[in-house]
Amino acid sequence: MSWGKLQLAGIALAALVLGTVVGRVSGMTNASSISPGRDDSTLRKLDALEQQVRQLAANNRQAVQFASASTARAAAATAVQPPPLAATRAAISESGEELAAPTEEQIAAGDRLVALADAVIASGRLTADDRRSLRRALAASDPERREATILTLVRAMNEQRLQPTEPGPFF
Amino acid sequence: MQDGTLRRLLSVGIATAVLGAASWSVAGNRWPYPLSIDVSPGGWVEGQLGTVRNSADTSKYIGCSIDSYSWGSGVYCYAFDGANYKGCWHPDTRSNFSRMAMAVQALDGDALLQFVPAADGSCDMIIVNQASHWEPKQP
Repeated sequence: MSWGKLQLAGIALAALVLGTVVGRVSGMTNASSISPGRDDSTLRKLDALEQQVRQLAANNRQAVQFASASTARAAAATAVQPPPLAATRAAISESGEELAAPTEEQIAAGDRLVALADAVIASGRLTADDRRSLRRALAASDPERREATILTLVRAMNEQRLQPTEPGPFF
Repeated sequence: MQDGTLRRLLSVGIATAVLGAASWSVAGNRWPYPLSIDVSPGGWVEGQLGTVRNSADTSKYIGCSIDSYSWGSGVYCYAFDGANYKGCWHPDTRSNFSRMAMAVQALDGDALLQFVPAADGSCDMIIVNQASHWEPKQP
């Protein structure tokens, strides 16, 4: 229900009230002008109209509330959401839980990865074969040593102790 | 001076002016940006992909990759100037991984790339710039 319609209904109600009051006042002075039956009918109409206006006002309030809720929902939908990974980590952090501890297989694979990286750095050259071996070892390793080993290899290259034999991605 | 010679000189002058104006009107700024690797700690690595690719030295290169594996992801930027290699690996365990990945995703064959490896080998900074003044890669 629009505000304009509500205003019109309000004006109509005010006119009826005014008309009734005027009618009653004139009835006091001239009893024959409004019969008792006609007066009751006008009051019933007035009551009905008043109810209608109250209902319209209630509907209007609901519409305004609904519009506010829709706007809030739309704003929430367009807000930048954190990436799933960050959200997961935040949830883990908040709950106080730790990530799963590495398995014995992962620890053994991590040992092999570190040994392999040490050998590659000692050779001074990162070949295509080394990259393939490192890829396999990385996949089997535990996450902590995986990250530490990659960064160790990068540091060795930045310090010119290790040089790749061909261009391309790290692995 | 004879009339014929004067007329010929005049036509050559007009043709030169027209050609000059035409070439001036199509030329924007063209700024080469060769590869530079500062090997000192915290040193920048930078180069425009077209300039590096088109340089006479065929050993030089610069680039980035976004690596996604079953065990995780990382952004890797690297460069080699024929003598020095420098790179940085930014794993997805770092809080600002998504920002680094966003920069690398903007990289194309004609972009300027700048990055700074941190002391631990991760990336302190990645800048990708696209602009009209960079030269395209030649075959």
